[in-house]
Amino acid sequence: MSETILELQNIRKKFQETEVLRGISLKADAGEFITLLGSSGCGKTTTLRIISGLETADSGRVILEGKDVTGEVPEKRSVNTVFQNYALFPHMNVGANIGYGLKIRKRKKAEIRQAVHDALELVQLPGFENRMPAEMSGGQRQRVAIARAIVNEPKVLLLDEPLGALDLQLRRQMQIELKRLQKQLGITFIYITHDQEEALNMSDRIAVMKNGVFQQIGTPSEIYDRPKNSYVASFVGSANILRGQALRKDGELWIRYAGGVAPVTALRAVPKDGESVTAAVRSEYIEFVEEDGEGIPARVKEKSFAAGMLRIALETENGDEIIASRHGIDFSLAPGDRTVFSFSREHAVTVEDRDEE
Amino acid sequence: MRNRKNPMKLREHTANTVMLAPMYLFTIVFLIGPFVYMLVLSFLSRAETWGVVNEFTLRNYRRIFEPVYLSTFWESVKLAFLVTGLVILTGYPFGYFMAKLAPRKRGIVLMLVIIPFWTSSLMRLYGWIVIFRANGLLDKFLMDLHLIREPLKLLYTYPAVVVGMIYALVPFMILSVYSSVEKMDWTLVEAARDLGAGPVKAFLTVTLRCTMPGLMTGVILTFVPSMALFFIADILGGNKIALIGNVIQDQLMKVHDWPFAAALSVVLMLMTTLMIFLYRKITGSRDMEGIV
Repeated sequence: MSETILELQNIRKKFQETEVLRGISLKADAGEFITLLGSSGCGKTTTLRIISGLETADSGRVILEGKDVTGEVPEKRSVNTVFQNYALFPHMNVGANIGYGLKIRKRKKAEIRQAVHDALELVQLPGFENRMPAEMSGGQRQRVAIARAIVNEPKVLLLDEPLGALDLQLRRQMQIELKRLQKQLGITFIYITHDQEEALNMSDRIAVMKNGVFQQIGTPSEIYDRPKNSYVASFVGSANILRGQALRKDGELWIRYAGGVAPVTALRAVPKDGESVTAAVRSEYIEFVEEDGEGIPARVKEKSFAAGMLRIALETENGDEIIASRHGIDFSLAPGDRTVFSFSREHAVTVEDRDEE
Repeated sequence: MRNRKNPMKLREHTANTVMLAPMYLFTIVFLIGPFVYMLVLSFLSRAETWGVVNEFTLRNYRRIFEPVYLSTFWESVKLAFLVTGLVILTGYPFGYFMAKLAPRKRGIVLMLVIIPFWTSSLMRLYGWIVIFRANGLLDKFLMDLHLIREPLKLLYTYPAVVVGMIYALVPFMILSVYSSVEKMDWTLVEAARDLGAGPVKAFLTVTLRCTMPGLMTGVILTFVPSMALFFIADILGGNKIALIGNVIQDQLMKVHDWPFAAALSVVLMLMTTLMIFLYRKITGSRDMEGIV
């Protein structure tokens, strides 16, 4: 599992005056499932297109199986793409669509027929060879698009928001199936999504992307529990971001924030006393303390209840909004009430501040 | 027809019929009427001096098999194939690249294609006379470049007629190809490249197939008129080139043999219908990109 199959070295790309990719580097191992996670316009699709060769980088290198393919045309790369809108050829039936790549490579007819048959079996659409794409549902077309790509046995499979157009239930089901397929085939997947749950569920590693830069690359648990900066913390798992000053007391680290004090854990370098510090705390870890207890004073702004969770919006003295969430509906505070909140040390971590970008 | 039993649907159906009545009326008066008239005429006999006698005959159709008319048909079909072929070779790339231009440039080129339609096509053909005649613009230009010594004297030759027809018909090809290339989903080409096809292979297997309806519409709009554009053969071909269109015109206007002209027209229409039938076979589509 440690053999590097794909490597991006300091890729840069500009469209007209806009810098879409600002020096990204990534190493993908054989059989690894890597997700590029970010909101639209962060450069994730461009990254994928540079890997497939449909777009060329302004600078930097793409290394595939130890070979520099930076200037290589797409048809020469052992990479295949599952396009966002599937891009099935409308004038060909399913069999011809899936067999297209093999036919281009001049494989024998019988061999193609067998490979198409096996690929359809793999995506659980056996016997669909003679259907036309227009006669199929979105989910079925999705499977055909996957079959068409994997039948060529690529070293790397690129998937551009492949589940984006499907409804929630089908999306869950396809997540599981894609993961199974990836394990079974042992192909490296580079998967694009803006859905953090999808990324956390499926990936071996996640690369969180914003403004053409990887903010953090790591395993789901690293990304979730040890976010590198405020963007990663708020995008993955929507954490509250607290910007305050460090306070060293009895050898322990605290944050001075909005007229209060709360304990935090230093994830990386321990800040000096009085230095500005940013902490991330998830909404479920926000606790309410006694009126005169140690914590951060705030006012209840609003309460709402959805999907078994009570969501309480608090306003701190410096005007920030802090979200607390609870299971169940039982909660005594009403909008307008004053309160004090805090959190336990292990649930608040320091992060780099990255919202200025 | 399944809806017969549903009163709501039936009412809707009646309403539709009323709304569409003017269209049906127009079609009957201006399309079906003349065609039936022509069909009936083609089975009647010519009067001794002027007009038609109500006497059924198949003589008009039998006459078409006389060598002189058969060879005219054959010449017309040959010319139509040649012109259509050349129109495809010039019009398809033009329409293709026009659709791929940046929007502003595309607008300008589109205007340049459309503007000639604002003048009568007859007038524009006279322009070609100025170019083609002996010691005309083309001869002078080529002689000034020392490419030729003697004038080519292209006017009243077969090539002049071919060029005139291409000129008259290529805009239809350009516009119909353009409209289908413009609708093209280019991610399909990217998918083909991604799956290992080179640019040429991707064009042949995907782009050409996806733009086939536009190409075939262009072919129909070129092939059918090029059999019948008698005035181009008249103006640029002198009396030397007689197409089926010229024969029909002569029979109608000069010889006044209306029944025979009608018979020739019916055969021409049958050939046209055959073309449209082939179109449907090839593209597998039942609409004509909004043109017929």
